[in-house]
Amino acid sequence: MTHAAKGKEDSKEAAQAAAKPKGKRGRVVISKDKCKGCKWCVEHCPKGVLETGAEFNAKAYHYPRVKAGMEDACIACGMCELICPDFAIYVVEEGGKNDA
Amino acid sequence: MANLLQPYNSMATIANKTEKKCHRAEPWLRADRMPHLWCPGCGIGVTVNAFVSALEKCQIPREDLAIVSGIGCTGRTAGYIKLDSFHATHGRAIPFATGLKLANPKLKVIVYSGDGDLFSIGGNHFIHAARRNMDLTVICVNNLNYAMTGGQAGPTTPGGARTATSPYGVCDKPFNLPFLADASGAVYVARWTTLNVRQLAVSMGEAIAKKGFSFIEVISPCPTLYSRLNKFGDGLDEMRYYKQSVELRNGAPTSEADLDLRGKIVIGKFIDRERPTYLDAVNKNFSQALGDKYQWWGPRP
Amino acid sequence: MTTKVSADPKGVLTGEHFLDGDFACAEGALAAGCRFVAGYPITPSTEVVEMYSRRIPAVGGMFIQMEDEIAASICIQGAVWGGQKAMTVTSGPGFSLMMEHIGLACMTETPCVIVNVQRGGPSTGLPTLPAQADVMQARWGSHGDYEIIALCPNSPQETFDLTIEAFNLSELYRVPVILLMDECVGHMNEKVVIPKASEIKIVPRRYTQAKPGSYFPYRPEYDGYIPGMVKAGDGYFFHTTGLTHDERGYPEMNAPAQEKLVRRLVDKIRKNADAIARYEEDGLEDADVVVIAFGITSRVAYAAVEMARQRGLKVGMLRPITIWPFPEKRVRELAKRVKAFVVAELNLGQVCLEVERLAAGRGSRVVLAGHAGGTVHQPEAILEKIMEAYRP
Repeated sequence: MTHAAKGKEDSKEAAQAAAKPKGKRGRVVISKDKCKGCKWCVEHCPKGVLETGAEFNAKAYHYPRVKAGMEDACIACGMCELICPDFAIYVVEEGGKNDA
Repeated sequence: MANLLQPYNSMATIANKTEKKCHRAEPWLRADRMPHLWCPGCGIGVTVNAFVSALEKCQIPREDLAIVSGIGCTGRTAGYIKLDSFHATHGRAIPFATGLKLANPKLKVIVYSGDGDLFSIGGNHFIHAARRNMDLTVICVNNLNYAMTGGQAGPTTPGGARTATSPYGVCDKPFNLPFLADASGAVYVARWTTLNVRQLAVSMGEAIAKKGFSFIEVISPCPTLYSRLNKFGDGLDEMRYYKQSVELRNGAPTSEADLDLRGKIVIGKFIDRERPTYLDAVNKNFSQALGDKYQWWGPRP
Repeated sequence: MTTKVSADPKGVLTGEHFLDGDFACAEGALAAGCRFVAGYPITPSTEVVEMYSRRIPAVGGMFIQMEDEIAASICIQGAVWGGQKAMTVTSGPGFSLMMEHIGLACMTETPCVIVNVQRGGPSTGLPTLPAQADVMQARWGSHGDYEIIALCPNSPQETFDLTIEAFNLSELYRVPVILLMDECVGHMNEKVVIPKASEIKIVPRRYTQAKPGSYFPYRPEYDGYIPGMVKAGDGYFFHTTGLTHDERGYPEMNAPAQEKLVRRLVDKIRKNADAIARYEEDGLEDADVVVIAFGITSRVAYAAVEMARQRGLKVGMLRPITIWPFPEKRVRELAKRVKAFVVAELNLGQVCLEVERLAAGRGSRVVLAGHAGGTVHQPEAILEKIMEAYRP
């Protein structure tokens, strides 16, 4: 790899690293059949990761989904998991801290 | 305040969070009774969520915990939590819990019930248990009405509110529950709303750990009855009202915690004091009176 | 077959004593292994808890005076689920307040003893004077379908013995048992012999044999009808509720669940009524007229029966000791061959309704020797009714 090409690689990596949130990351798991559509998780996520989806479950409640492009934005704070009255959403921590 | 994001220690928690296969509360709930019966946007489930979070961190073995509920929406809580649980008669969870605790003082007994159950029909029992400093933790989910029976006015319904039995608005003044608990002698008194879940979970942990009569009031939405009858919106609207209206005042005089219709909501931990529990006083008294002849009751300190 | 065990000597005041019925009741409870009493003062029952509160600190247990009878009657149930044998004590007005919780104890099958030292009623009535007018209330006072056991002692000695019996029956049938005393028996002083602890036989609580995880709180385990008991703190994580429930103890509110549960609650007593019913009889073999009397009235009735016999009348005596279940079988048998029953009771007609029901169509009359209460019958008053029973 030429010096210039490596430099370009480095800055691309750096840019990518800057785009990822530092610290903990998580992935939400939504149990759509338990959801009663109260929207508290959507409202109280500090990173605004969630939105109410168009899909609905067997009881006709619209359950949340992760916004497009926000898949890496969850910081595993656990607020959605704690504030859900129906135990319908929880967060799984993804690995350890990011390198950065 | 403890950090809820620290690793949990209880045997019932999920050890490796990256292997997590279910909600962290699940091991504490009766899976064969889920989903629960509480309405969409009802806050009782959130209080249970916070409660389980407190149970995960408490140092008491699970078999030594017991929960007693009365009648009403919040009264259904005991049925959903996988502990030794009891669904008593309306208003009488506290005297039942008193008997349970005194029969086996090793147990930690939590009373989990609603505003009407604890303070209308159950009012007399509440003040006496607080007066005696019975070693109980009482959690009152206050949704400002009798929800289960259709949204009637209760002793905590704010003046002016429309309910099923006050179609032209409530004419009397509601109880200020922290004030009542304080005056009756409770050693731990706090109020939160279902918005303040993190503080609620920590406060529940403190109340459970504390010896003596601890009381936590949790203001909670009731979208199906109270909010609907007053056209306040749904559960989300109610949470937004809490966000605008809560005023955190730890240590505030409980006399300043009155609630009125759509006014500010003073929250915080108001009282945290010490005095001998009923059983401690009984043991001490009889030891002094009878010396060696006295049969100590409960674990020795 | 449940094995009885000997009483715990710590609670047994062995010896010959001169006690009133209330004190004898407290001693009976201690002998039976009762280590938890919650009460509220009410004449003429207060002495039971006064004695218990004096004795329990040295025996080892708990007495708490609750804020009212409603609290007391559920406090004891919490204590039972905490592993203790428990009792509460009251009289008419307090008994009325306890009705909801008698129903709860029936529904949750909580073994406990409720003492009602009957006094004049209704309402505040005659706090210091006897009556026997709570008999029907003891059976039917709470709402809904249920069966109950109620015992009527007629002396302080019998009060001691029947208090132990009350605890034993409550454990065998997992039902609240009412000790239906009256002010007279409660406040009269007589000799009470308390035997050695090894001679007093107690039914221990029948805990479940099932392990946590495979335990069903309301599935019959003993004697075909009775679920195995459990207590908080043993890791069973069970649930009990006053709502109609399934075998798991979870609310199940529909007609089939109601039929299954309530039918069993009723049948466990009804189908065993003949085994539970206890009574004392005298001179029934050739009796034309049978006097039925219980509690203090039976003491007077014996005198009246003796007076009648001295006049050459063939009068016998049937004294129910369990007033509920009522000794139905015996009364039905007698109704076929005797001329009449004279029911002597300190009320204006309660047990006589049972006797009328049982005697209906079998050929015998029922005469009531009633009294509004406030004092015991005179023997002559019962004798007069016996004479009336002889008239065509």
